[in-house]
Amino acid sequence: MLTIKDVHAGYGATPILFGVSLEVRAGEAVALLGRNGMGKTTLMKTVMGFLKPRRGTIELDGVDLTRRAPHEIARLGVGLVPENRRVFAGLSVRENLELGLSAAPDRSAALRSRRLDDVFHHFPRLRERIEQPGKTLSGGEQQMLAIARVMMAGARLILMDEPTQGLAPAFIRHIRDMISELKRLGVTVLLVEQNARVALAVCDRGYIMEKGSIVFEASSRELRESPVTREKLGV
Amino acid sequence: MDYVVAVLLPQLLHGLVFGAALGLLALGLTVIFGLLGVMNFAHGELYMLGAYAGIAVIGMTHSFWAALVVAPLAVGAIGALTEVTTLRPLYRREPLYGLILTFGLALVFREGARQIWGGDMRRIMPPFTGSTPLLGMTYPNYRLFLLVASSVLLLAIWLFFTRTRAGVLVRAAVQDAEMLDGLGVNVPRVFTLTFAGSAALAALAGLLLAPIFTVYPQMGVEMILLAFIVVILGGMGSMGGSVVAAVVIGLAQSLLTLWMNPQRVAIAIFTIMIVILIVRPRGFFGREGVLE
Repeated sequence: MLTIKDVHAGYGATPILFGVSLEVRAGEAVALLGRNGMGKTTLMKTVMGFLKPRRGTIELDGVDLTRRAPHEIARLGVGLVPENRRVFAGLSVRENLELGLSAAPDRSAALRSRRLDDVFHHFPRLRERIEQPGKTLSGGEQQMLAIARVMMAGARLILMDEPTQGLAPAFIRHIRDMISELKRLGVTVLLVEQNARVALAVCDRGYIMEKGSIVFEASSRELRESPVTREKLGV
Repeated sequence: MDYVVAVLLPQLLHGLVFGAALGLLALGLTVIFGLLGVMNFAHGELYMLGAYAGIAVIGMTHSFWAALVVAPLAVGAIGALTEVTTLRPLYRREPLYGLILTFGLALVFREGARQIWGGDMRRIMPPFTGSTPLLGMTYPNYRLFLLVASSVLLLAIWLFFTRTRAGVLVRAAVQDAEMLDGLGVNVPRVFTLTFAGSAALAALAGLLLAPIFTVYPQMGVEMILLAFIVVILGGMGSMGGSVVAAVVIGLAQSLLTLWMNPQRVAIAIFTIMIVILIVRPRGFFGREGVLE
């Protein structure tokens, strides 16, 4: 579904990614592991179109993404649950969710109420907070909102960047279960996580990134047992 | 009592009228500030162009009302064109580039207006004259109209930002434009339309105020300084704060002229701004500004 080939990217004159290649097949959940500062978030931003790769290709079902604007990539079915959640603090939960609908094929009232029902089924907390501004939500609730936002869009591929960062154990379980649930619903997930245990519990396969390159790829079971994981991640 | 009715009350109303119109100018400025992270120095020139476009339309149609519709649309189109051709290429750079650019645009617009219309003071006649008895005094009808029109416009803008999808998109773009783009919203288009809207609003303020002021190429300079103060006092990027601050500055300006000459009023108002900036950097309401 998502094919990344030899991608080089960075900020200004600073290169961060040095020829990253990876593949996520439809229906899979794939973990992208690695220590801080290894380029995981940069890769996510490059796939979403926030950064333009200097070299290499990124394809979604054969469609080239590298020259497209973020909103075009979103409309092709890619949803980003970004690092630090980036919920619109001044907008209500409802307004945040309705913005998520921007990437949907239409914004009819019927689709909106169906998607809202869906989202509230998975995150009843958000229904209770519907008229509250985003900034009044707890970190865990903001994370739910960030995930709910891309569900509103009906994203086929969800890029999740550190969704459990800074959350209490109960929320981490909820997010983990939600990723499994998304998979069951047929959504493809590329998950960046510091918490390798959580990531490998829900993902089928994983890649390990180091200094802007992929250095290891294996099934989750192998990654859990491999000494390479311990060596590269220090867990 | 005579002093109150004859002097204080009219001056208070003048301040209110001026403050409401200033609010229109400051709102556009604060929204653009939120989007670009810099003050749009050319905003005062869009205000000036509104008055000149009004003179042009009145010259052709002999109707103030036609000008009130056409001039903001024309200046809005100029705003959109300006955004696409000059500002857009700079968005990925430091905000400082935008500051220098808008400063240059202001000069181009101001001197361009002087080339086209000359540097003379011009007047626009109010569409109606006469006055109305009010609270024991008589007050010019056009100023009352100005107060009502500005208030209605401010209310409409508030409804736009809180009740319409387009308004929510602008607020979201102010908070995190990149994320909004990532959610599937064509953010460059939001920027262009917001810039056009802000330009149209400035033009509207320029034309509405023209019958009580004079029209000349420099007219935007004085107003933009006041509008800057309003945006700073309002908390940089806070729309509600800007409206309240506009009324406060309008009233302060108007009342202070009772006791000092205009130069000293300017000194007093800028002193207030400097003090507020130092002791309350987030403006009157202390809300988190867009710079944080």
